Amino acid sequence: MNGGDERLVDLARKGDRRAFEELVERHKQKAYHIAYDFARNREEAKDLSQDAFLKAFTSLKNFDGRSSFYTWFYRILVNVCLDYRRSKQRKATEEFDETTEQRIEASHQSSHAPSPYQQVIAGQISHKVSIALEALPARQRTAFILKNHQGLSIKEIAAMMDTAEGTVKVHLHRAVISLRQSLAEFA
Amino acid sequence: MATPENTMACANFEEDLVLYHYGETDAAARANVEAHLRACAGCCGSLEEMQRLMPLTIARDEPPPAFWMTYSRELRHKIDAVADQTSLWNWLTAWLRPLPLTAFATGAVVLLAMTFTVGKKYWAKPQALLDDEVVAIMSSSQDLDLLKNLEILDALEVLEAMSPEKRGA
Repeated sequence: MNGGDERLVDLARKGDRRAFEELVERHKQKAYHIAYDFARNREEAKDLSQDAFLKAFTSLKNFDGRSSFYTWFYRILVNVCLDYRRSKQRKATEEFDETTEQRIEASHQSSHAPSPYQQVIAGQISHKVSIALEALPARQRTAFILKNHQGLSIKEIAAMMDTAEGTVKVHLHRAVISLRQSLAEFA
Repeated sequence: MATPENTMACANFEEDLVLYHYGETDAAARANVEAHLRACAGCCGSLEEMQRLMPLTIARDEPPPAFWMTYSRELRHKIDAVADQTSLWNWLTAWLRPLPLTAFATGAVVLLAMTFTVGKKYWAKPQALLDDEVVAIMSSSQDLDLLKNLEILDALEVLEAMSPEKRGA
């Protein structure tokens, strides 16, 4: 998936804008989907993933190649998403409620022509899931999203979160336990 | 549907079950978990519940192709703006880079010039004060002479008063 990134990174570091644009094309969909898992809103996910690309562009000269571009870039993205979450938590409760409504609406739009009953159930689940995910501590949520939603390996997640694999396992376990308790009524 | 009674995992297997669910166990751990699952209804129920619930948390969004075209175009504009800012900054720093030594030398010369011109009156003031003090002392010493002269006059008057002509009168 990320074969050849290093060559493009080398060119981009030398000022080749087309090489950087090629890196964007390679990673934009995955970056968007990760950001969407954090934001659960299309516009916000777009902004967050674009911010991560911009940060990568401006700090490319600091990329020392000790990790792969893939790991380095997704670490930037995860940090952008966590910063977004922190700033969002500072906002007022009514704004949170409004966003939750948007999320329910977005989940309705993204479902594949379900029946009205399924839509109601999906809406309820989505609402509960949003609240349950929001309630998780930042690092538990990150580990859970990267594993459960994105299917990354524990090793990749540890590299992106800049932590030990054992720590990721603990975060993942605790996140799953919390979510199961929150979503028990749908079991 | 699993009931709470048959979804309670053994406490020491909970984390292994989560890792097993996500395919993150090595061969030995996997065999260990599978052997336990064959004998434990609670852990079996717990695993089934996890397999049912965790996919529900995923909200996939598949934007249309037009979204991706807009995405790339917008990002290109943002990168252009950042690149312009960066190049302006680089140009400015490159232009200013030779200046520090020159600026330091110029600053030093200006400082010296200020010291010898504008600053002169400040460091020359103590001398001026000294001169004033000397004048004051000199004038007071002149007053002292005058006083001394007056004292002499007083003494003369006493002598005159004691003279025989005055006493005879």
